[in-house]
Amino acid sequence: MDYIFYVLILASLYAILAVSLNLLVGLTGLVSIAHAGFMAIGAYATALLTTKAGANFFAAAVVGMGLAALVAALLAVPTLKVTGDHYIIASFGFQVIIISVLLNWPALTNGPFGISGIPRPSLFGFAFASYPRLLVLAVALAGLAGWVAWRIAVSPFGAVLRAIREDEGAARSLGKDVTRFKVQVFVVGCALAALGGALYAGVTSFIDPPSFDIHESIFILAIVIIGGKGNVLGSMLGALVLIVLPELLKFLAVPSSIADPLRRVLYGVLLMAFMRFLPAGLLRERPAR
Amino acid sequence: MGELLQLTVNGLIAGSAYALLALGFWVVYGTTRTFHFAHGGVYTLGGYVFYHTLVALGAPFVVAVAATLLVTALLGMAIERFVYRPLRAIGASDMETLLSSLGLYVLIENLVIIVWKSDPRLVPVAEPLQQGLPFGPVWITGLQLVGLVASLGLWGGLALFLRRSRVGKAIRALAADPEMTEIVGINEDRIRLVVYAVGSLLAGCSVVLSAIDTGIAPSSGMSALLIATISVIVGGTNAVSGGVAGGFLIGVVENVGIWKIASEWKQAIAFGVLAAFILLRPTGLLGPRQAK
Repeated sequence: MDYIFYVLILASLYAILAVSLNLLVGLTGLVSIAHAGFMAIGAYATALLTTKAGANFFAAAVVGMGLAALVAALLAVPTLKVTGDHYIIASFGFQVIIISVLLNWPALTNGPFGISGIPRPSLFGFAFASYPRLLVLAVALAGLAGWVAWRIAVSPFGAVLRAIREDEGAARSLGKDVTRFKVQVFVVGCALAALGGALYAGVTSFIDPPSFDIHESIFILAIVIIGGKGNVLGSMLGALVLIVLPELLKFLAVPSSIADPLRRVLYGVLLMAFMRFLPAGLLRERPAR
Repeated sequence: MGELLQLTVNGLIAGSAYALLALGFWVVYGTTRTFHFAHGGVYTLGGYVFYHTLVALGAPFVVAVAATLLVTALLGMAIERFVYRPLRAIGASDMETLLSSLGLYVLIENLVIIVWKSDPRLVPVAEPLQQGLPFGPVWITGLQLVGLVASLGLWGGLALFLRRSRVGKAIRALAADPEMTEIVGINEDRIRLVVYAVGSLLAGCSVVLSAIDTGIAPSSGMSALLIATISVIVGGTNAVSGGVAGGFLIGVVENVGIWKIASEWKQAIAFGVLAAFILLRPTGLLGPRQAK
């Protein structure tokens, strides 16, 4: 039973990550492969503040989100000025740098050994200690992230982002400060990614650099694309499908050494298949009113 | 002073390897504007084919190299024919093509892990090649010399091919104006096949040189791709020499950087160079002065 709860917690967790990346990829048309890097900022901030400074999980998570927002803004101002492929390469580079910092700054991050013993979240004396309670928390946070993303999508702000995606030149000629809009949505998306990272740290109670490597970033991107670009519910459905589907492999008695690569083969193939046959994803973006 | 000179030479040698990587990526990216992520997968698979034929099957070196180049070229062509061409036919956007390429990369890397496991493999090299030879105040190993000569040779060869041969001219035409190319009666699909064959062949050459130097791991392709893309952006996407210039620059800056900064930060240094170029000169070293 705990196993089912755990899988659903993971699905909610990835729903947060996918919903936040969808703001960039789906709504604004910015393909980023650095999302796990921002997730790492939230996770490490939470892990360090709770284990070393004895901070409350939620306070630590908020600090992590703020830190991720700050880093995102610093990264965004130069890189979002350039368009298209340059930006993808910049995000690719940033992802590599984050991992390299986590590995090579052992005084802070404990290097490749990671951080263990991260306490489970608790709020006003109520501990989210068991899996069912963690699931409630994860679903609530996923709902919150989804609500924020949905509010952005239906707001005038979201309309400008869609305009930037469809025709950046036209948006600019209407007097919209395109770079500023991109920076703002990037900061929000990355802060939400850090929230996902914080939850990840609280749920697994152990983090290390490989948990946030480029494969994680690609996986989150695959959820967004398969779920449906620009559709909040699509990202949630995508997370559910891509987390639950590989779990079924466990029932096929696949040796554990190839279970992980096989899972990745699966979403690699799915990514290609969707681009070829169903590029809009499982749930397509609803037309703006 | 001697130390700095040695580091600069090391940088030029590393840079020549980066230049070769950039060359292979540029052939595809510069002419078709496809962000060919799966190029990294071609590189990785090539490395394992080389390792497998040379070490596991015990084939002679020349045979292993030939097998590697054959497999990479064919794989590149197959990707163009069976992945990118159908996507073009349905009018997929650049982003959709890129995501498909990313999926393909993940597929190849993980198939490699399933077949060969994820631990790195070393390729034994003849002893004399590993020994340093003194060139005045600096030392260069035979292996490094081979890499340097091969990179420069392939660069020259590619430039000549693009400039002189009929197919090479058609490739440049495709890079400059795809629609016009079709109008003057050049079969675009066929030229693209050549482009992917040549680009993947160069990836094969890169991975052979890198495998005999440092071995091969499933993640090698991703690192190679990162260096190649950074070099191409830093050097400029519009000319064959852009990526080469970028590769040499990154190599030298990284290695001279180690003089003051610990070597784990090499990738961070490369990224710093990239960030500086994106900020100050987005069209690259050899690009036009003004962005469009």
